[in-house]
Amino acid sequence: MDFALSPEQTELQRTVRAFLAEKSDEAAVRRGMDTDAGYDPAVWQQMAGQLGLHGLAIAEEHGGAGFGVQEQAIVFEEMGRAVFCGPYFATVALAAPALALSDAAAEYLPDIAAGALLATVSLDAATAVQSGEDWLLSGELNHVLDGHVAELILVPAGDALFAVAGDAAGLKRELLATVDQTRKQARLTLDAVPARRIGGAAVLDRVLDIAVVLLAAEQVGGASAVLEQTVSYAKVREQFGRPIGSFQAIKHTWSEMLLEVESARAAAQYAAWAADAAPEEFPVAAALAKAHCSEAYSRVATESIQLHGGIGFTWEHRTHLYYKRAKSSELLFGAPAAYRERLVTRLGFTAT
Amino acid sequence: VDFSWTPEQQALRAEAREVAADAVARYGWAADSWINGYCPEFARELAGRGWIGISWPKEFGGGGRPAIDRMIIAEELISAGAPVGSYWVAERQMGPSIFTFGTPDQQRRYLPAILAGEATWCIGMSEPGAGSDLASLRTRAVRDGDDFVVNGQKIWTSFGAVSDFIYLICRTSADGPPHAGISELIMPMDSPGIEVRPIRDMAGGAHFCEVFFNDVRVPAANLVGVEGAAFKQTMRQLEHERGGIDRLVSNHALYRRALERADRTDPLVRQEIAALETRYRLGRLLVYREALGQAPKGFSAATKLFCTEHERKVADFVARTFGDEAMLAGDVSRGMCYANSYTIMGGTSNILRNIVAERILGLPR
Repeated sequence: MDFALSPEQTELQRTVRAFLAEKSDEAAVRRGMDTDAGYDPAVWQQMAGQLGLHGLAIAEEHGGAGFGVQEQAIVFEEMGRAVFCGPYFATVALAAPALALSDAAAEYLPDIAAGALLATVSLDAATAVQSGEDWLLSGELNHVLDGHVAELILVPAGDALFAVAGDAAGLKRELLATVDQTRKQARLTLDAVPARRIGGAAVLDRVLDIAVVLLAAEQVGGASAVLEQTVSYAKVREQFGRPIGSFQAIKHTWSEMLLEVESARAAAQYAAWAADAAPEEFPVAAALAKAHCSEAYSRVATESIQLHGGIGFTWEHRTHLYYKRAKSSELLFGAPAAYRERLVTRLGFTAT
Repeated sequence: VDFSWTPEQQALRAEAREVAADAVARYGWAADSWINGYCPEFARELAGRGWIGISWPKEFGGGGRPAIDRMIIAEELISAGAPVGSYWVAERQMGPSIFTFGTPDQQRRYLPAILAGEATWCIGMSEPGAGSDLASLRTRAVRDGDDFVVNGQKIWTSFGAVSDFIYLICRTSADGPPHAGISELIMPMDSPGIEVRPIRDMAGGAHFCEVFFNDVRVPAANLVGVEGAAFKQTMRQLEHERGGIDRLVSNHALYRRALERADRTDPLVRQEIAALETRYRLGRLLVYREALGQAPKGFSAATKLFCTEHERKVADFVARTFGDEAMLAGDVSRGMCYANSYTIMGGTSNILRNIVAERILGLPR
C-alpha cells in the first residue's frame, strides 16, 4: 500500500505537464476547437516522438515503452488538466488497447507508437457480410471519437472486430457539432465497406474498462485544474470589501469540491493500478471510477461557474471548456447510473 | 502507487477477522463498538496478542509496527462490532500524546496500563461554552505549590463514568489570545472533587458525561508538555481522532445486515448500494493514506468529513431497508438516531469544512 508516485512516474508527470503548458495552452486548445481535425500535427509528432506518449503503454515488441495503465493514466490526468484537444484519447485510450488484444497488434501498434497512425474504435456495431475472402460492413455508427480523421477505424460486428481504413470505399464520414469542441465526434455511414477481421469483439469489454479508467484520470486532471483555478480566484476576487473566499458559503462548497477531487483521484488511481496488477478487482474498480470521477468533475466544473458569476458564463472565460468536457465525458460511454448498475452487478448483486 | 497488501498484512487481517468473529460470539456485537462496546476482558485479550499499542514505538512498550498494521486490526474489529471501547481512546490518542509530549516519568507511569488493556481514559475537551470554539474553554487550573487546583466543567466526555483517568484540556492562564494559556493535565478520575453525571443521549445510551471539577488537586508533575502552550498538542491529538478507520466503519456491521435484507432487484436500491459501496471503498483509501502518513498535512479533517458523512448515509439506508422495523426500539432505530453523532463528535462537519478550506485550500479567514 503506497500512494506515492515513483520517481519515474513523478518525472513523467512533470514532463508532460510542462510540455502541455507550452504546447497546449488555452490559446492552442481554442485553435484546435475551431478546426475540423482538432490538432496540430507538429505537436502530435513531438508528443509521439520526443516524449513517447503514444507508445507509453504499448509493448516494447510493438515499438512502445511497455509501461502500464498506471503510467498512461498519469499522462491522461495531465491531458485533462490542459483540456487537450486532439485525437489522442481515441488513438491511445481506445484503439491501442483494442489492437493490443487483436490479431493485428504487430501490424498497427508500431505506427501508433510512432504517431504515424490516427485510429479509433466504434462502440456501435455494424453488420458484416462475408464476400469471398473479404468482409463487407454496413450500418450507421454514431459518436465515433475522431472518426472523421481516423485512418484506422475498429468496428465490432457480430462477435468479431473489424479493421476499416479511413479512406475505404463506401465509408461516409460526417463531423458532428459537439458541445465539447475539444473532443471531436463523427457519424460514420458504412455501405458495404471492405473490412478485415482482426479478432473477437468480446475484447471490447476490457478495452472499454481501460478506456473509462483513462477517462477517469483525465476527469481527475480537469477537476484538479478547475479546483486550483477557482480557489485562486476566490482569494483575489473581492466583494463587500473582502475576498469572496472568506465567506463561509464559499469555503464549505469548495472544501466539498476538494473532497470530490481527492476521492476521485483515489478512485482513478486505484482502478489504474488494478488494471495492471489486480485483474480480479479491475472490473469493479473501473465501473466505480467511471461513475464517481464523472460526477466529481461535473460538480466541480458546475460550482466553478457559479463561483465566477457572470464571467464564468462567457465564451471568453475558460470555465466553459472544462464544464463542457466534464458534462460530455460524464455521458461518454454511458452515464454514471449505468456504471453504478455495472458496479453492483460486478460485486455479485444479481438483479434477480 | 501500489494498492496491494503484503502477505504479512493479509495474514494479519485474516487473523484480526477471526479474533473479531470470536469476540462477537463471546461478548456480543456492538454498533459503534469503539465507543459503545465496553469490555475490559476483551481488551486484556488483545493486549495479550500485543495488539494494543502495536504501532507505538518499541521504546515505550509498543509493537513498533507501522501504523497501517494498527489500522488493519482496527478495521476488522470495528467492522465486525467487536467491543474495543474500553481501551480505544487511550490507545488511539492518550498514549501517543504521552509518548510524544509527556515526561519519562509519565511514560513509565501511564503507558504500561494502557498497553495491558487495563486502563480506560477519557478526554476532557468540550465544555458547555466551548464546543466548536475549543480555544474559548474556561476550566481553570491554578498553580498552588506542587499542585494545580482545577475548577470548572467538561461535557460530552465519552467514557467519563468508567474511566480511570481523564486527559484534561484546561486553562492555566487567561492572558493573551484564547489559544494561548491552554495546558494538558492527567488527572485520576478518583480524585476528590470530581463529580461525573452521565448524559442520556438521543439514542438511549449513556456513554458520555458531564464532569465537574471542584477544587480538584492534581500534582504539577501531571502536566503534559508545555504549560500554557498545549493547544498545538491538542490539535495534534485531534489528527488521531479524525483520520482513523473508526470514523468510517462504525455502523458497517449494521450495513452488512441490511444488505442481506435489501431488495436487490429494485433499481433504486441497486443505485444506492453502488453509491454506498463507492464511498466506502474511497473512504478506506483516504483512511489508508492517513495511516501511511501520505495524506496532505491537516487532511484528516477532510478524511473525517468524507467518512462520517458516509456513515450517516449508511444509517439512512439501513433504516429504509428495515422499513417498519426502524420505527421500533432496537438496533436499527438506535443506529438511525446514533448516526447524528458521527458528524458532531471530533469536529462537526461544518467546522471541518472551515478547517479544510482555510488550512488546505488556503482560503482567507
